[in-house]
Amino acid sequence: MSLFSLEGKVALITGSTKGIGKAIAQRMAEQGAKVVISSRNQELCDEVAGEINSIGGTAIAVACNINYKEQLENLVAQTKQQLGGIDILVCNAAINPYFGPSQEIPDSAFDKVMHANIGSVHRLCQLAIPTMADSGGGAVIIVSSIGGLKGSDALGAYAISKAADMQIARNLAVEWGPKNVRVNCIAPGLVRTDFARALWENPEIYAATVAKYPLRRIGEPDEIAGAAVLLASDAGSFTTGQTLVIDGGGTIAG
Amino acid sequence: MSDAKPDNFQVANLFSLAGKTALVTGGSSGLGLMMAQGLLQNGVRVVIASRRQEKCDQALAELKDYGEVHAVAADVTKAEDREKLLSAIEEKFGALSILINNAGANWGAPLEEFPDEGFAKVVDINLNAVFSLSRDAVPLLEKAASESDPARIINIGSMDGIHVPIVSRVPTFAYVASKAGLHHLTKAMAVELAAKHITVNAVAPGFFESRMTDYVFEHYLQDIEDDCPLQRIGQPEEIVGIVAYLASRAGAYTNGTVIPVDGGTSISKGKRDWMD
Repeated sequence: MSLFSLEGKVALITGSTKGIGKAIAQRMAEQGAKVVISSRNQELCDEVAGEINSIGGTAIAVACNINYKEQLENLVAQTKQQLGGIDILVCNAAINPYFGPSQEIPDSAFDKVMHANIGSVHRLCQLAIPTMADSGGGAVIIVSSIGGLKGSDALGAYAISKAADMQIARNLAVEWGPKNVRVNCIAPGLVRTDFARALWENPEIYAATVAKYPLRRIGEPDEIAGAAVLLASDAGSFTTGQTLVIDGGGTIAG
Repeated sequence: MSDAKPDNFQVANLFSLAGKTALVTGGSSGLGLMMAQGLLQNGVRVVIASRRQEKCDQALAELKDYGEVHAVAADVTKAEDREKLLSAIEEKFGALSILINNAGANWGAPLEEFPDEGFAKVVDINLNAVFSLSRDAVPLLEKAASESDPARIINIGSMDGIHVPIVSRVPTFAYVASKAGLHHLTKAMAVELAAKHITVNAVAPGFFESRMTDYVFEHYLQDIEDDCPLQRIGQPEEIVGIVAYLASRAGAYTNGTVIPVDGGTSISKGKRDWMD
C-alpha cells in the first residue's frame, strides 16, 4: 500500500465546497478516504459530494454553519453515523469579514472572527478527537494562513485567528500525542481560489503580486491538498504540532 | 509564470517520483540509507555518496535490488571530491532532480573541554559542505528543473536546530548551531534559487534509529519517549514519506520551509522531571 494511502479512513473537511477545502476533499477521496463535504449551503454540498461519488469515490454531504455548536455536533454525529467513525478532521472553513486597520474594527466583527475561526476549530477538535483516540489514533489538519506569521495593518483580526490555529495545533499535539492523535497546521500563501480571485484574475495585478514571491507564481489548490494528504497519511505520521508553510517562499523572502 | 494551470494533477502523478534522479550524501547508513531505499522503490535513479569505499560497497549490496543505484566514495567537504561526485552524476544521469544533503557529524563534550577542531569539523560537514555542494550542483539541478516541476534540494536538519537537546546530558554546541544555521541557509538558498526553478527545503528529524543514536537509545530511550508527545521514536517510512512529498508534484510550491519530523518533541515543554 502507498505511504500516502487513506484507504479505509473517514475524513471530515469543513468549507469543502470550493477552493482549498474542495481540493483537499477530492485528493483525500482519490487516496481512498470516505469524505464528508460540508459548508453552509446544502445544495453545494450535495453537488460536490455528487462529483466525487460519480467518479467512484465515497462522499456524503452535511451542511453546517460553523458558528453554531449544535450544527458542529450534528456534523460530527452524522459523520460517525453514516460513515462509521472519524479518522481525519480538516478544519478549513474560516471567515474574513473586515479589511482595514485594527483601530477601526467594530467589536462585533472582531468577536465574529474569533468565534468563527478560533472557536469552531476548538469545538470541532473537542467533538472529534476523542473518537479518533478511541479507535487508535487520527489526524487533525487546520488550514491556517501565512497571515498568522507576520504583522498586518489590514487583516489584523484574521491574522490573530490564524496565529491561534498554530497554537491550537501545538497544544492539542501535546495533549493528544499519547493517544496517537496528531494535530498540524498548513499555512498557505496566496492560492488560486475564488477567495483570492481579485489578485490573480487581472494579469497586471497578478504580475505585481507574484513579483514578491520567490517562485514568481501563486499556488494551486492541489499544492495545498497534497500537504493535507501527507499530514493525514502514514507518510506524515511522525509529524505533529507543526505548521507547514506552503507559499512558494513568500514568507521567508523579506 | 503564466496563469495556465499545470497539467499533471492526476492523482497518480501528485506523489509520483518516477523517472527522477537523486543524490543522497551520507547515503550508506542511517537516515541516508533509508531515504536512498525509499527513493529507489519509487522509481528514482540514485547516487549515494559516502566517504569510505567499503561503506559504499556494503550499501550498494543492500540497495541494488531496489533499482538503479550507484555509489561514489567522496568527502563532500573537499572540492576535488565534490567535482568527482558531480562529474559521475553528469556522466550517469546527465541531470539531477533531487539533491539530499544528509551527510552529518556530531561531537559531544562539556563546554570547558569542547575543542576548537571538534567544533570546526562538525560545522564544516553539517553546514559548510552543504553550501558548497549545493552551489556546485546548481548547473546539474537546473538541467532537471522546470517551472511546473522544479529541481529540489532537501537538507536534513535536526529538531536540535530548533530546540536545545538536554536528553543525552552531553552538550553538542557545534551540532545544534550547525543545524540551526542549516535551517536558515535553507531559507536563504530557497529565495536565491527559486528563479532557477530549484526549491530548497529542510527536514528536521527527531530521534530515528542510526549509528549516531545508539548511545543515547541505550541509556535514555525512556526519557526520549517521555519527551515526545507521540511517545516513540520515528520509523524509516516517516522520513521517506516527507522526502517523497517534498520531491513530488505535491510539494512543488513548498519552498524555504523546515519540516520537523519529531513526533512533536520540539514543540512540547516535555516532562523535565528527570532533568536532575
